[in-house]
Amino acid sequence: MAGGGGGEEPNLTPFIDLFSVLVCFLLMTAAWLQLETLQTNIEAATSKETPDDSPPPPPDPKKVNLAIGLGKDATTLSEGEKVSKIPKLDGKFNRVELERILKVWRDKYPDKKDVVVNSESGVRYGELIGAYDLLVATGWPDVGINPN
Amino acid sequence: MAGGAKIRGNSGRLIKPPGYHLLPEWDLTHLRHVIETRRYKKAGFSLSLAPMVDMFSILVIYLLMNFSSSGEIFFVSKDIVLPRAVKGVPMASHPLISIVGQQVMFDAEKVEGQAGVTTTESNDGESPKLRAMLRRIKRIERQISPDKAFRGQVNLQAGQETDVDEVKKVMRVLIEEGWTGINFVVDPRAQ
Repeated sequence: MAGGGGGEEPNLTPFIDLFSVLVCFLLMTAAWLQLETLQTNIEAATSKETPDDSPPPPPDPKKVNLAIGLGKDATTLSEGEKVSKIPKLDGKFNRVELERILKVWRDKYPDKKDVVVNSESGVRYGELIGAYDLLVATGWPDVGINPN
Repeated sequence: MAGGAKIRGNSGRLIKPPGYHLLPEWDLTHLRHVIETRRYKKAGFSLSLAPMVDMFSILVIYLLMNFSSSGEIFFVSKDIVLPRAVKGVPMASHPLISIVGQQVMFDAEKVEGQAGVTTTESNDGESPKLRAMLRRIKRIERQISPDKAFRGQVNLQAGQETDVDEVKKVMRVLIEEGWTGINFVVDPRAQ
C-alpha cells in the first residue's frame, strides 16, 4: 500500500493494449454503409415467356393477373382485363391514389401475393423502386419486375 | 543568556538571541528526504491513463455498433445516388453489379481463388465480360453443390436517375445466364 492510505492504482497498460487491438479490428470490420436490398421475383414476371416441357396447368378462371405499368405520363393498373390509368403529378406517379387502389386490391384478393411491375422506356429507376417499395408496404410481398 | 538582553557588536545593529526550541520529536533528516523525494516526483512528467481508457471504451462501443459480422465491403460509386426505400431487407454478400451511366461494372469478392475481381464494359445488352464472369461463378457454385438447384443471387445497384432501360438490359443478361435472384440495392434512410 502506498503511503497516505490510498489504494494501489491498477495497471492500465494491458487495458490500453486490449482496447488498441479491439479498435483496430472494429475499424477494419465496421460497416459504414448501411444498405438494404429489395428482392425481385423474376419467375412471376417472366413466367409467361419461359416455355416449360411440362404441360401448362389448366387456366384458373378465378385467377387474376395484377400488374402496374409505369409510363412517362401515367401509371396503368391492370386487374385482369380491367385497365385503369392514374395520371402523373409533377412528373411522379400519384403515390396516394396508387396506394389507395393497391389497398383495394389487397382487400379484394386476400390470398394473392404477386404483382408484376412493367415499365416503359424513359422511366427513371428511382420511380420503379418507389413503386416496388409501395407494393411491399401495402402487403404485396412477391413483386415481379418485367425486364422486357 | 537572558531573553531580550542586548548584545553589543561591531555594528550598531541588535542581535536577538534565538528563543525557546523544542527538541525534534521526528527524525528530521529522514522527513526531509521524504519531502524532497515527493517534490522531485511532482516535478517529473506523469501521464494519467484513466481518461485514455475512457476514450477507448467509448470508441469500442461506437465501433461495436457499426460492426458487421458478415464482413462484406460494398463499393458505392460517388456518381450513384441510390433510390430510397423503407421496406428493404439487410444486404447480403453477393456479387455486385453497378450501372453507372452507360457502363456496367461487375465486382466479386473472390472468383476461383482470385480476390477482388472487377470488370467494366459498355452496357449494350450483350456485356460479354459480365456474362463470362457470371458463367465462371455459376460453374463454381454448381461444382460446390451439384444437387442443389442454382438460383444465382446478385446485388444490382444503379442511380435513381438512371433510365430503367439500362437496368432492364442488365436484368435480361442476368436472367439469360440463370441469375434470377436479383436484389436491388437501396438506401434505407427514411424518405
